[in-house]
Amino acid sequence: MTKYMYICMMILTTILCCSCSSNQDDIFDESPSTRIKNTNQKVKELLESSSNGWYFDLFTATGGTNLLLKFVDGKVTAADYRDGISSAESFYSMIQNGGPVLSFNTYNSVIHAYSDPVSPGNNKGDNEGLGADFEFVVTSYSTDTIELRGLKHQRMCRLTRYKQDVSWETTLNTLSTMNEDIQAPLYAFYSNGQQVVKTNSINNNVLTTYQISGLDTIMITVPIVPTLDGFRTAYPFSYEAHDSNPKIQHFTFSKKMDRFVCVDSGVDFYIQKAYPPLNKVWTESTNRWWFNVSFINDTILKEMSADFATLFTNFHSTDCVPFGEKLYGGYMGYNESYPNDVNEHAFVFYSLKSTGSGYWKGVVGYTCTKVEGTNDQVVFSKLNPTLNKAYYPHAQTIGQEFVEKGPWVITVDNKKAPTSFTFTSTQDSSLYITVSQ
Amino acid sequence: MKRFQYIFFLLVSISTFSCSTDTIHSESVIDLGKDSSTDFDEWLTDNYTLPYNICFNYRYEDIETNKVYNVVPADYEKSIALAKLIKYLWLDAYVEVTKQVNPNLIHMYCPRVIQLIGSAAWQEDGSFMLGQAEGGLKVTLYDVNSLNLDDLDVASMNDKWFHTMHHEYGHILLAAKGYDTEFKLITADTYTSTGWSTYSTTEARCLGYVSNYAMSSADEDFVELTAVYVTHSQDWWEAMLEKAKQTKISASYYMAYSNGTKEVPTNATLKSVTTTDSEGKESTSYYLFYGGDATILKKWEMVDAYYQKNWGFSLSDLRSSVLTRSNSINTLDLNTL
Repeated sequence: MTKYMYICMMILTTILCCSCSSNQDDIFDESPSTRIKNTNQKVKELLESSSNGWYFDLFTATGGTNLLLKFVDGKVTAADYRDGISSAESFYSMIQNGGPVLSFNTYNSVIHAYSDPVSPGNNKGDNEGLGADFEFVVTSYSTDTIELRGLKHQRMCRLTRYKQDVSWETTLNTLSTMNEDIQAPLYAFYSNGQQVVKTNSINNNVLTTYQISGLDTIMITVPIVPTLDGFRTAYPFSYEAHDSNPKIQHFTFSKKMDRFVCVDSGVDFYIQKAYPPLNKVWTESTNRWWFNVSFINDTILKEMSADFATLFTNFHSTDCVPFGEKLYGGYMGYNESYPNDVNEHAFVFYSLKSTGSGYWKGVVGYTCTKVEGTNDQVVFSKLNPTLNKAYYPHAQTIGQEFVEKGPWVITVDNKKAPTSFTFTSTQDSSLYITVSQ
Repeated sequence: MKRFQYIFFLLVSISTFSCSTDTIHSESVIDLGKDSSTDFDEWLTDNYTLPYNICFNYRYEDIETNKVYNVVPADYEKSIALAKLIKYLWLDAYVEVTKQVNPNLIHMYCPRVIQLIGSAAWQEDGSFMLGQAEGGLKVTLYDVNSLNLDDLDVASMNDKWFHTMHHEYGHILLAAKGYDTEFKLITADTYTSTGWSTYSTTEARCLGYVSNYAMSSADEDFVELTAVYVTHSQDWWEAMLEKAKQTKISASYYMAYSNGTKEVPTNATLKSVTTTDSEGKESTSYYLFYGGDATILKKWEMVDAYYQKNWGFSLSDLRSSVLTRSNSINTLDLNTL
C-alpha cells in the first residue's frame, strides 16, 4: 500500500510541477473579435479618407470591369460606364464575418448590377447573373490600396486610391474608350517574337490562351480589367510550364500599332489586334447569337423579315401551344451542350414548360462555311437535328430556310467588335434576320 | 502512513484550484456591425423592435440568407415603403382584431426576424422563390426591389409578401395551440409531401384545397386556407369555390371517359351541360364534377372555429380589416418616416 502511495504522490508531484509552470503568452494583445473590430474601423476611416474616392477593379464570372466609388458617412456613391455613365448612392458597412468584411448591404443599381441574379438584357433569372460579389473580405490594406476577396465567389478585387485631378466623368470616359479598344474580332499573341500557335481570344474581358508543355496543351483563362492606359489581368500568367513566378500581367495600348504590349519586367509579349473577313469572324465565333424572338408575355418578333417572323410564329403555335408551352427564344452559333451533343454549331430553341417553370430545349446542328472568293458570304449545310427533334419540327424548318436561301451576306453593327450579325439572302434581298449577343 | 495520506489529499486539493486565473473581458466579443444608424433604423426600433420584439433587417445579412441562391440587397427606399406596408396591412390588422379579447397576441407570438432581400431567389431552371420562413422565428421576403411605389398593386403584393406573412403567422399560432385533428381526416388520402407540385392550382381546388401547396400536409393546408381567405375578397372566394366544383374538359376527353378509354377519377363524376343562347342555338360543355367546394368550405369552418375558440377573432373579421386597409394603401405616405 505504501508503495502505491509513493507512486501516486510522485505522479501528482510531476503533474503539479508541469501544470502551471508558466502562463502561455498571448501572441496578440487583443482578442480576435477586438482586432477585427479595430481593423474595420481603420479600413472605414481609410475608405472615407479619399476625398476623390477609389478605383474599384471588380471581377465577375465573365471578366473584369471598373467602377469608381466614394465613401462618406456610411454611404457609398458608385459610378459606372457600362451603359453610358451612371451613378447611384447606397449604404455600406464594415462587418465581421470571419474577418473584416466590406459589405455593400443596401441595393445600389451600379454595384449590384454585377451580382443581380437576373443578367442585364435577360428577362429571366438564372441564379447567376454576372456572378460578382457585393461583400468582400479585406485581405490587406495600405494607404493607397485595399485588396479584397469576394466573400461568396472568392474573386480577388482591388480598391486603388483615386488621385487624378480630373473629374470622374473624364476618367470613366477614358476607361470606357479603353474597354472598347480592347475589343477586336481576332487577336494574335506574340511571345518572344513568335506567334503563340493556338487560337487565342479576349472575349467579354476574359483572355484565353494556351500553354504548350510537351505533348500537353493547357488552356489559360484569365479575366482582365481595363486601366487608364491599357489593361491588367486579374493575376499574372506564363507560357512556361510550372512557372513559380509568372510575370505577364500589365499591358499598355499602342494606338499606332493597334496592339497591347506587356510592360512587366523581363517579358517580351504583345497582343496584336486583327480584323479578318466577316465570314471568317462568323465561322470562327464561339459565342451564342440570339434571335430577337419571344412569346412569353408580349409577342416579340424583331429584326427579321416577314418570312422568318412567319416561321417563328408557326413554331410557337404548332410546336409549343398545343402542349401548353410558349416559345421562349433561341440562338444559333456555338452549341452550349457540345461535345455531349455532337453538334458544335447549332440552332437551339427553348420553350417555357406548361407548368410555367423551366424550359424544354430543341437542337438542330448545322455546318456553316465561307463562300470562297468572298469576305462576307457564308452557306449553311448538313442539318443534324438531335435533341427533341420530334417535338420541334419547326426547328428543322427554320434551319432549312438557312440552307435553301443561301448564300447569305453578313453585315455587322461594329466591325471592331461585332455584337450582332445580320444575314441577308443573296437569292432574295428582302429576306434577312439579325442575331445578337 | 497517515502523514502521506494527508500530503496526498493536500496535493489533490491544490491541483483542483491551481489554474483558475482566467478573467472575463469587460467588452463582448460579439460585434453587431451596426456602425451607422439611420432615421429608418430609429423608426424600426420604435415601430417593430420595442413594441413587438421584431428585428427588421433591411440591410443584407449574409448569415440570415439562404446561401444556395445568389441574391442582392433590398433598396433602401423600397425597404422603408415595405416596412410601412407590412405594419399597416399585416401587423396592425392582427392588432385591430385582437385588441379587445387578446391584446398581447402579437407581442407574444410573432416572427422575431423579418429579413428583406432585393431580388427573387432564382433557381437555375428559371423558377424562383418569393418568401421563406424558418421555424416560426424568421420570415425572409424576397424581390423587394420589384415594389413599384408609383403603382401599388395589392394583388401582386399579396402574392409576393403578404400571403407569406399570413401563412407563416398561421404556423406560429398553430405551434402555440393545436387544432382539431378531425381537420386532418377530411382529405387525409390526398396529402402528398413531395408530389403536391405536380398538381395545378385548379386540380388542387377540385380536390378540396385552396392551393396546390396546401396538399403538402394538413398543417400547410390549414395555414394556406387562412392566408388565401384573408387576402381575397368574398367575390373572389365564391368564384374560386365555383371553379372548385368542376373542371371543364374537351369533347374528345368526354368521349374517352364515356367509352372507358380513359378512366374517370375516383373522386369525380362525368357530366355534360347543354345551354341555349339568346338566338336559340344550343351548345354543350363537358365537365368532371368533383365537389371540391364543399370540402374547402368544410375545412374553412374548422379553421374559422379554431381562430375564434383559441385566439378570439374570426377569419371574417381579420379579412375585413385586411381588405379595408388594402383599399386605402394609396393614402399612406410610404416615402417619409
